[in-house]
Amino acid sequence: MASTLKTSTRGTRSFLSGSAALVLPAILLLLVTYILPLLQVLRLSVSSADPSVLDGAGFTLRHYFEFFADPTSLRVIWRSLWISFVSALIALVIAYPYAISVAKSGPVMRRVLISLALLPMTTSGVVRAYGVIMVLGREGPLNKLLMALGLVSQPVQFLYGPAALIIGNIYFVLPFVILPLAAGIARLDGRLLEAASTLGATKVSINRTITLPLLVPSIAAGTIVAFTLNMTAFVTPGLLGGQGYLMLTTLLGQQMFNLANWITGSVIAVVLLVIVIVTMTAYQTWLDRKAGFYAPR
Amino acid sequence: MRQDSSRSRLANVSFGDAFRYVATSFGAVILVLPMLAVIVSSFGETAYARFPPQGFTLHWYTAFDEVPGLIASLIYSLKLSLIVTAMSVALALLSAIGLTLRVISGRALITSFLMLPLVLPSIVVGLALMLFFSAFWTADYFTGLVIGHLVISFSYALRSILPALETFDRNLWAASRTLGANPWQAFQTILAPIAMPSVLSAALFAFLISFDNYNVSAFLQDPLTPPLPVVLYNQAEQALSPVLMAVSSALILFSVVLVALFGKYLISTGK
Repeated sequence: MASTLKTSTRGTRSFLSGSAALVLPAILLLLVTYILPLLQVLRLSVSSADPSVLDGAGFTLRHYFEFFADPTSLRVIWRSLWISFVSALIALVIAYPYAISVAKSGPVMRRVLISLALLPMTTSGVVRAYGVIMVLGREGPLNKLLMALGLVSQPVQFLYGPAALIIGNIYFVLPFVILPLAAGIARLDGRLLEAASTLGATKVSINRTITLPLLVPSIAAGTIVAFTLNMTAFVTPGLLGGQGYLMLTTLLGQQMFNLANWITGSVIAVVLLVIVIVTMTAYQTWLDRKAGFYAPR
Repeated sequence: MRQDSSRSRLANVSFGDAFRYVATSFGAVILVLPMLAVIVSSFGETAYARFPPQGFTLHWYTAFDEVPGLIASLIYSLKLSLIVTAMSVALALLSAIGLTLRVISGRALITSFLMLPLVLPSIVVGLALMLFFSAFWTADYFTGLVIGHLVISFSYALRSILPALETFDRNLWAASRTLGANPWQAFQTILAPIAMPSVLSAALFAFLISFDNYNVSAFLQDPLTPPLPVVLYNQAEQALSPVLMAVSSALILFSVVLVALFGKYLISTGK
């Protein structure tokens, strides 16, 4: 009896240890068709051989020096950073009251508000950009509004400039900021708010001393996600900024698609990767340091 | 005194709430207006899409073939995305089971590794795979696209499934196996019901990510039959035809149906 029990237990264990092998196909897939190609980009960016040697040969940092010596590259990097950051911040300011409304509304209104945020998120990026192009047109609602308010006398040409890109970015990332923020607000401990309110705190001071500090991780997460989405988006800057107002991604596209310049393309890709990795790492480090203060999540 | 303070609090509340309503409505307008503009301008009579449109016609909804390659690309993209979805979900389910059935060392590291495509820019992946296929592996266009979409969609699928399986009690599995269930039976009766909602959400994300993908497709496309987002993107570089607005409206309608039917599966794990 004891021995059958033992064997059956061992049988279970042996299957279980075998089960870990189920991860292997995915690991293998990513190693071969994800990590290896990324390494090849890294390799090509420091290759001293002719650009047609796609697996690279030799070693040089010349391509990086050339890239950073070009004032256009620096301008594009700086532009990508500030446009992504400003768009993320404005998106956050718009998302915050919206997310609070999601958390405070009754079930029907909440469903409506969430659906409105999900709708653009599940629609094609190019379609979303079409929508922004329509709204920003010469006779579009934004120009009409500005003229009605007397802020401008002539319709403004938004497309292919910073305003179009910032507006497009905000629209693009808004759902990605609203949804985590709403989830963070829903997780807040209602007893804290009740206690503060019982003790006579006003709504404004509750918001400032309890809600806002507890939401800092959600707010930071939303901003980081928005920033990286803006930084790495291609369709939005491609259609709203075009060739005349390049971001890092569209500069990469120009080098690859129009100029067939694989090596410069690889250099830009590495720069983009570094910016994203540094941002994410800085955020993670900051979050870990704060982890003692905020409840583990 | 007491009444005073409660009144002032009341005034405070209504002012704050009023401000919030205005701000929320503003957010709602931003979310809705571009979609609305696309739909409304698809009914205009002018040869180029305008918003607000002039006149009213349904003509553009019957003229999808006016944009060369549009219908072919739609079919191509659907086929591609459905294949990618099936593969992503299967692979993600396998990986999630492998990561949760047993405590394995290095689990956190493996998980972060498998989630990398969520973090790193997809445009870099597109470029990387293009170079990879040119230098090391001459795959046909379709295979290349399947692989390019798969590595990204897989991570989204895994992110949906893994948290659901993490709440699963391993003892249930051990108990069922001790009681004589074979792995397949144990999977069907114990794991599958727990994983089911997350598998649905994984499939939705995998499909949407693939169907909407431009950044990888632009690098790996077959120039003769590009996927739908590439066709839509290339068309937008010229003046926009109302046919594009009609197609886009159809895509928006598809999203409306998706959100109405499966909205709750999209938020629990929303990015």
